[in-house]
Order: sequence, then C-alpha cells, then structure tokens
Amino acid sequence: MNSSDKIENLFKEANVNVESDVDNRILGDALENLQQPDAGSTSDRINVWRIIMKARITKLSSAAAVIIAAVIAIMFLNGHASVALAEVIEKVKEYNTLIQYESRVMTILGQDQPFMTTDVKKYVSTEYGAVEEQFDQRGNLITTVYLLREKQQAIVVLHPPKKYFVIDLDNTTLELQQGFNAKGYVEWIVTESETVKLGQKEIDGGKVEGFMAVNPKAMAEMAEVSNGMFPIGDNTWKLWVDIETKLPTKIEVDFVMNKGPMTNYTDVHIKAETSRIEWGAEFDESIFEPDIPDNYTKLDAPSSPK
Amino acid sequence: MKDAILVKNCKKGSAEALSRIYEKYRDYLLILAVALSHDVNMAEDALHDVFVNFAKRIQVFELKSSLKGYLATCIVNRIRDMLKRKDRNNISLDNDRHDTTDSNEPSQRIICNEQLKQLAAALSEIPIKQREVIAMHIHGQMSFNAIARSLNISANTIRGRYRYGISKLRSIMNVEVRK
Repeated sequence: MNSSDKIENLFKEANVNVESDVDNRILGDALENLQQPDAGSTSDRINVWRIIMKARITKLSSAAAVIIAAVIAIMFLNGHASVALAEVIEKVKEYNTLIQYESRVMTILGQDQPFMTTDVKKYVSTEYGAVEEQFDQRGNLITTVYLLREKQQAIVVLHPPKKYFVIDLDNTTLELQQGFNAKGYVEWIVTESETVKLGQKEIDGGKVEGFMAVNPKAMAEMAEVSNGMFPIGDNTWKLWVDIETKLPTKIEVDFVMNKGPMTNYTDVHIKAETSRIEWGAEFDESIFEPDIPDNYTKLDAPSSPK
Repeated sequence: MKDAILVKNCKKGSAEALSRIYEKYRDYLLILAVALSHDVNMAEDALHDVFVNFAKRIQVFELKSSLKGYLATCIVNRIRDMLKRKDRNNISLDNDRHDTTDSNEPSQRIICNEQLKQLAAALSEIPIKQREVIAMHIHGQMSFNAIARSLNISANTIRGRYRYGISKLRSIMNVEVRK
C-alpha cells in the first residue's frame, strides 16, 4: 500500500467522540449570533471562558470568582459609605496584608446536593497584589490565580489540565481586581446605600453585628455586562463585624447564575463564605512569585471578560 | 434536507437549521481540524470560531458551491491562523510538543480514535501548507482546482504541495515501518 492510500485509509477510519457540553457551547454561541446577527463580539469575549471551561472541574468556580470580582469592581465606582459602617472601612484600611479562608459551594438550582465544593485560601498584600489558591474536597490544588501589582498582570494556573495563561491589566483593571478580597467586600457592602442591619450574634465566642445587601443596584449594572455569559439572578451579601475590633470576621455571598453558556445552560446557585480572616497576617513575599511547573503549557492570552 | 434549504432557513433565523448543519458536518470538520493541528483543544476552538462566524455572517453568506467545502476551507484558514499565533507566542516545541490527541488528559472532551491519532502524528511531520492540501484532497475529496480556488492559489502550486507532501509522508512512514 502506498503512502497516499495509507493516509486515505486513516482518514476513512478516523473517528471522534464528542461530549455534549462541547456541542452545547459551540451551538449556544453560534445560535446567539444567528438570532442577533449584529451582536458582534461573542468570538472574542468567549475566549477566556473557553479556556477556563476546558478544565471541567474549575469552570464554575472560576465563574464564581470572576463574577464576585466584577461586582466588587463596579461597587468600587459607586456610592458613599454609610455612617454606621464608616468606622469599619477606616479600620480595615489600617492593614496592608491579610489571609482569608473561603468555601464555595455550587449546586444546580432545584437539586439538593452540591456538584462542587471548594476551599480557597487567599493572600492579599497592598504592595504586591494577591494570590488565590483553590482546592477540591480532597485537598488537591485545582487553580492558582496571581494578581501581580508591579507587573500589572494576572496569571491563572489551571492545575488539572496543566495549563496557564497571563493577562496584562491596565491600571484601572488592576485596581478593581485588587478589590477582590475581604477588604474589597467591606468596601462593597459599605458603599451600598440599601444596607440592612441584621442585629447582633456570637461567632466563635465573639459578639458580631451583621449587615446585608440584597439584589444591589450594582448587580443590575453587572448583568448588563455579563448577560451573554452568566445572567445574574437573585443575590445576597452579608457582612459580620466584630463589635470590639470593628473588623469583619465573616462574609457571606449568595447568588444565582441563570442559564447561559458559562453555566452549560443550567441555573447554578453559588454560596461563598469567608469564615476566617487574618488581618495583618505575615507571610513571605516570595509567595507572589508565580510557581508554574515546567511541564505546564502556556495558552494564548485571552481577552479580558467584558 | 439540502444544504441550500438549510442555509436559506438559517438566514431566516432558524435555530433548527443551524443545528442540523452543525450535526451534519461536526465530525468531518473536527477530524480535519485535528489532522491539521494535531491538537484537540485547538481543533475545538477552530470549530467553535468557524460556526460562530458562520452564524454571524449568515445574512451576507452566499452558497456558491459546496457548503461542506466552504466550512472545510474556513477550518483550514482558522487552524493556519492559530498555528501562526502559537508560533508567535514562542511556545517551545521542544518542551511542549506532545500528542495532544491523547485521550488520557483529564480535561479531554473530544476523544480521538487510534487512526486519527496516527494520522495527526504523521501529518504533523510535514509543513502546514502541504498538510492542508493533502487533508482537503483526501479527506475533503476536493479536486486540486477546487482547493486552488478556495485557497486562492494556482492549481499547479496545489499539485506541487500535494506531491511533495505525499513524498515526505512516504519517507516518514517507511522510517516508522523500519522502526
């Protein structure tokens, strides 16, 4: 058999088996453009999501991270602090570092059991930036995100697929992304004019006072940006502040991402709870040096989510 | 249903028509993309971009000959662009050149059979321009003239690329057999 016959045979016998979420994603995006032929930029703005979604285990948790970050980014641009919480915001400004521990639980709306639960440890430095490590329930590291202030870059490392990508950030975006931590959460809740007082209770032996914002205005603004990817449903934000120290000890975020390409066309309920915050924590600055194993593949830089 | 009718219905905004085109040509285009790129992730991205752009431009699209050939040419062009971009981004081939058609990778959502893996591996040894012509001629069953028209290159150049490509594949396969 000559080589062209052999190639012909290989082509004839070649076969692919495609998972349904590949079809959902491609057809979903194509249909969006078919029905709105002037919609424009789906191909570009889907880029970052395509990369994230290839790592099945990380895609929705990444969506949760991004949505929270984006909301906080918008919140930074809005509103004025209420009198009661102004003290809190002044207090957290005294600290240049912190470590926060967060859990994220994701459930398909209407189902009892979550399909994914992760634990997050985040190091934040006003000077260097932030590093977020996300673990699955067996303690395996699944994502690391570096936000590097000096280099003005975000580096996202996806561990199960052994891939990473680098996003260059402009000054404004960097400042906004930097707010994605307990300090930022406080600013966000404080700047929401419709904050509701939840009263006092005890957490770990300490007396705390709670504040809550429900479906804040900024989420509607966020929805305008994100509707094509993850339409935003009901959302609630709670902040618990230690009465003595005036420092937040617990932050709860609860929201629904409605059907969209990012959620594989299902409604997803996400609960993120920051239950421990070490204000002024000391840690080695070397943690902000990206640790990317040699066998990881660099992906093309995605466009920033719009 | 004939492609011309499906395209016509797509222009009217029919989601069903677009879905049927996708279902009809998905595997064919994916095999072509994997064979050209030797990379299932890139192949998936190329298929995505081609269908999104097809839908986006459906109002101005005119079906002049074969829809299958048109979509295949789009895949070829998209993969060529992606490979160029990959080179520009200076990804080290020595370190990263691995068989990304391997189904053992945990994030894999497209599984290639052994024949497709062999095919992509063999084609990856020859230049992309020769790979394109061989894939379009053998897999796409396009004549040299049709390939020439779709790539806007002379038919003689296309024949030359095919001849050189097949010749190189012969050497590569002979070496593999001897091993």
